Amino acid sequence: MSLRAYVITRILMTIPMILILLTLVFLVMRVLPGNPVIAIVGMKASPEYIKKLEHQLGLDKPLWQQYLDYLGNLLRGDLGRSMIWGKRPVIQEIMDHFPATLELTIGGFLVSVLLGLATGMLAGIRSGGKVDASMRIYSIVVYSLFIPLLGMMLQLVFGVWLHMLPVGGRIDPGMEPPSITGLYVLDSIISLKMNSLLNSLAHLALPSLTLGLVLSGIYTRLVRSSLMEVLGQDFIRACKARGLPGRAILFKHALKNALIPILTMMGLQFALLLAGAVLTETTFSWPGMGTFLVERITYRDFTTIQGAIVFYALFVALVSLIVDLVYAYVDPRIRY
Amino acid sequence: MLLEIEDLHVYYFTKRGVVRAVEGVSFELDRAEILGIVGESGSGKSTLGLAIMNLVPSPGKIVRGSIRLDGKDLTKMSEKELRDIRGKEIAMVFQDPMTSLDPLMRIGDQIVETILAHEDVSKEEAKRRALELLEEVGISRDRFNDYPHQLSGGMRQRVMIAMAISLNPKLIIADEPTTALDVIVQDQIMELFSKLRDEFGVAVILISHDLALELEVSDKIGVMYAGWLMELSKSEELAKKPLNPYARELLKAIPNVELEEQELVSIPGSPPDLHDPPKGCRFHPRCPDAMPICFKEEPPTKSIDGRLVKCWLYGG
Repeated sequence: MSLRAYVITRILMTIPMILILLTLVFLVMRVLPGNPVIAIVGMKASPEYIKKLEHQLGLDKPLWQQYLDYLGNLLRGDLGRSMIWGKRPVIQEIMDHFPATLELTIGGFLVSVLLGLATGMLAGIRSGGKVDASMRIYSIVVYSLFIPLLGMMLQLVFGVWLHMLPVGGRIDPGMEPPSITGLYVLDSIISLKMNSLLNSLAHLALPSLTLGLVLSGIYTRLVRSSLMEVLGQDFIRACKARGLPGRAILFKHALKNALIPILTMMGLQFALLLAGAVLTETTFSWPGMGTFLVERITYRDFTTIQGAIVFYALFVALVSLIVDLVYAYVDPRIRY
Repeated sequence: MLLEIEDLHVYYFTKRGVVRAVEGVSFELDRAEILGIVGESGSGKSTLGLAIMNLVPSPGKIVRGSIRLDGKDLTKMSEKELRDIRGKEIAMVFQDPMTSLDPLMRIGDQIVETILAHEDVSKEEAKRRALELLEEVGISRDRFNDYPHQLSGGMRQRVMIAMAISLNPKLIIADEPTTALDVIVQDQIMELFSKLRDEFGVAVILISHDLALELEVSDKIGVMYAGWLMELSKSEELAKKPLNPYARELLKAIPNVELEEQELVSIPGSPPDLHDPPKGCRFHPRCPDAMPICFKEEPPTKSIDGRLVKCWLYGG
């Protein structure tokens, strides 16, 4: 199978995935008590008024027809309009919030991978020793930290006591770079705005550290066990017998091989991070998808929630496709 | 003398106790000589090979004895000094060519890396030499950019050998180099070793469980059992008249296609657990010639007509 055929198959495979997810969400949202109309006008509105609004939003149609209508629109690439917020197009609503989450996710991801790699390597190189034991304790402790608590502690230390970093928001008002990708850090670099870059990085620091620190514990363990396994393999002994320097063996041979199983985990983690950043976003008043979606779920904004699900599914599918392609690049034994 | 090993003891300090994997082994090896080391699994022959490189894996340790290469004792060297010896003066070829190469690196680059680790030459020069080496071991030059998984087992072992000879070592230790390969490839690899000995004066320690193979290629053969060197003789002498009963039984166990009788001969029993080896001679429970003294005391190693033998049959 050629690379192109592989990519096309993978893209086609996301279609049933999205259909299943969408159907589930569609049904669950409608099984839950309440609907957007009641959320907007409240329980005391007159039945006629409620009927009228329901008719406007198409909620008086049979369920199957609502479902087919939605799918029809989706096929044309139309995610519909929000049912409550001034009928804004859903895609715009998502685009307003998604870049913030993506930026935080990338930040948290980088922190977790870097910390995880460093601690995992320290533990794996001398397994069984004191360093190893400390790193294993580290991994359990950070993993069991509660994100809001950790976030508040960091806010207290770096924000309130040391006055080093801002405690909330993405950027100071008036500092926003021109919107190109929506990622402030990236946009600041593209438009060469040094002040915006520093300001957005400062805002990103604590949330990323909070999210990354907690998730780094998993990598500590994974890197440790993977590295230990690779270090025990024949080719590492063969490298020693060839008189290669220890550092070259570790970085050029052992680490590269050890990272292969961890790549999978990185792909999965990234998707999890995207969805799981809610607690971090709330703690740091981060205007991302998490707070936004929680709000919309309480309002039963059906179209926005469905749209977000489709969007997430596509994004996660894209990330896992990229991971698979990176795999093939790193490991010559894998070919598509 | 190129290599002199004296009274070598290698123990593994495991949780269950001390495993005496190699005990009191002494021998000498000259340039352009092939020394075969034979023995069953667990006889300590692989540990012996790794010990010469000072690469015994933890919890193993060289506890006593000396290994002198050109007069320099390897057991007393620092890790840095050892690294200069490994690959450059002593090279090693391992049993399983499938797992002895880094799967993520092109084979050519692995040879280049080895050369650059020891010699101050340019990358281009190292690559030129790597290409020559590949040709030397019978692999076409356009395989330089292949990954290990693209090569057959025999070809991978040739790559390992190309790497082993890349720095013109004085000694190559080959630990079961052909066990994972078929018989035809085995012959080709053995010819390669003979060629290295004859043309470049390389000494080879060929570790194998296959006595028939050793008799064909080795100049002399050391027979190991349960960590002891039971006999060390020239190959022809060993084939004609083995001194140690264990060596004799091993010879009998070689299947002979020309004989009518089909039955395979084996030595009854199995090698001892080295956590708790038998008292006296370690071979006595399986030895047809065992005498009362063999149950009580370790036999001394005697030198008879230039051959070494560790057995009570030749007196105390």
